Amino acid sequence: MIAVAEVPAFPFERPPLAPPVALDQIRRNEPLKKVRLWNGADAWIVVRHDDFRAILADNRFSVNPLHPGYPNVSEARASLMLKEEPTLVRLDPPEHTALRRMLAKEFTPSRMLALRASVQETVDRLIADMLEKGPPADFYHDFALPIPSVVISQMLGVPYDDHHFFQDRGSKKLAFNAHPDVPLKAAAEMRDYMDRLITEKERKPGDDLVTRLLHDQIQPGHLSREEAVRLCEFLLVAGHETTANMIALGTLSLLLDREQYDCLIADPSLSGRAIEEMLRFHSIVQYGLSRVATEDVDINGQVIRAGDGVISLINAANWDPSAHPDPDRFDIRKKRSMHVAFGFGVHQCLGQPLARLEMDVVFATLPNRMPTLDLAVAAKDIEFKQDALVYGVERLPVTWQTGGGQAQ
Amino acid sequence: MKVIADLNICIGAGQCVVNAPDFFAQDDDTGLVVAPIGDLPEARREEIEMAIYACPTRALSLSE
Repeated sequence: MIAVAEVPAFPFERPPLAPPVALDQIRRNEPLKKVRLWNGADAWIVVRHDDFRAILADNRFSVNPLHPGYPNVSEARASLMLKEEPTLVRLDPPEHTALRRMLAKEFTPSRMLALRASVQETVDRLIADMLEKGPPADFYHDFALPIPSVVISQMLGVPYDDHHFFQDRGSKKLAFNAHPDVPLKAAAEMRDYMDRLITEKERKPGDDLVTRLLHDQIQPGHLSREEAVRLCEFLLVAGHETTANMIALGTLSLLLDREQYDCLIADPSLSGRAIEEMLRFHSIVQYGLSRVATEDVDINGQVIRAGDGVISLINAANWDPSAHPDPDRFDIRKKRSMHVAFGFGVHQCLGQPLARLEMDVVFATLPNRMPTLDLAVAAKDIEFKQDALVYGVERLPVTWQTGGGQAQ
Repeated sequence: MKVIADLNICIGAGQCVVNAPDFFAQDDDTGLVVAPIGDLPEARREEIEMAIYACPTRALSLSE
């Protein structure tokens, strides 16, 4: 009788503030491992930092979910992937390249520099609002979520007054275990919304990304209106949900090790390094990046066959001790090597300069303005998102001392 | 030591600029890389190599 190696079910259970424990053993014993998905299909998971970079930079792996063998990580995700027309993140070159290049100029260093003052203003205003209202506060809904929501609204030219709508649909679109109709319906409603917004921009142009896309791409015929709607809808969701979770989780990690929060009070210029450690440690895109091999590919002696699904796990790569010694130690003071929290290859996060800008302003500002900020509940009582592609807290109750100790 | 940039591959992810801002820039009109021209200082090799390593599409290479 032939021994059959057990194929574990994916995804694995995880502790609240670390990747699944199972990934450590897999990384040591069998760095490319087959796992079984919800629908009975098998796929490879990639857990080593070097393999992660190699696979995501290799154009023999396709990102198109319509390609047979593409690994969908849950039924809700499959529903969205298979029934939606693909855009930016689900297209391979050269279609992808054309779309990406339409957007590259929106995220250059000079654009980010021009945005910095208004990001600072938003952060200052939200801190002032929390201080004025007094403790306690829900740091997630009162601060972490509004920041990227305001910023992406301004950038795209979306009225911030509609934030309840787009935040709700955004989080439904990224649901993991929901009924398969939930993300589809949310995405359809977001598209209707964006379609109306583009119509509005035709009548009343603004100094914003949607107007520029309309004038530079849609009207000259480089981009269809339907494609533009999908692209803008994607940017709106990608632009707020992710950064909001990072701001909240990053703050949580600092508050769980007070000394590190105090480091940022003493030296706000540490912010730049601190945010990289937050991105690495939390690696919030928790179910990885799906690809499918379009031909046989040898990765360190293991042949991945054409049609095999491959899931490159960001959290596993960012906790690979060969790239990041003591990966479980969150330490903003330590100089670490490059992480892959934003992915790698042609689909590496488009908005990362914006995410970095927002996080940098937050962590250079918040500790000094709220030096006594603290959790208002025990760490074990913090609720984490259990049903989301992008990990985060449900809410983050915080408190602070009023009067004497507070810088105003 | 010189840097060669392949503009057919560059997508303007800007990682070179993050890692070696003194040597790389992004074109404001296209977002694509503006690579340094000519010989680069040996003393700065580490950050230039880091910029090349960081490029997600491997559009940059070194010519000795």
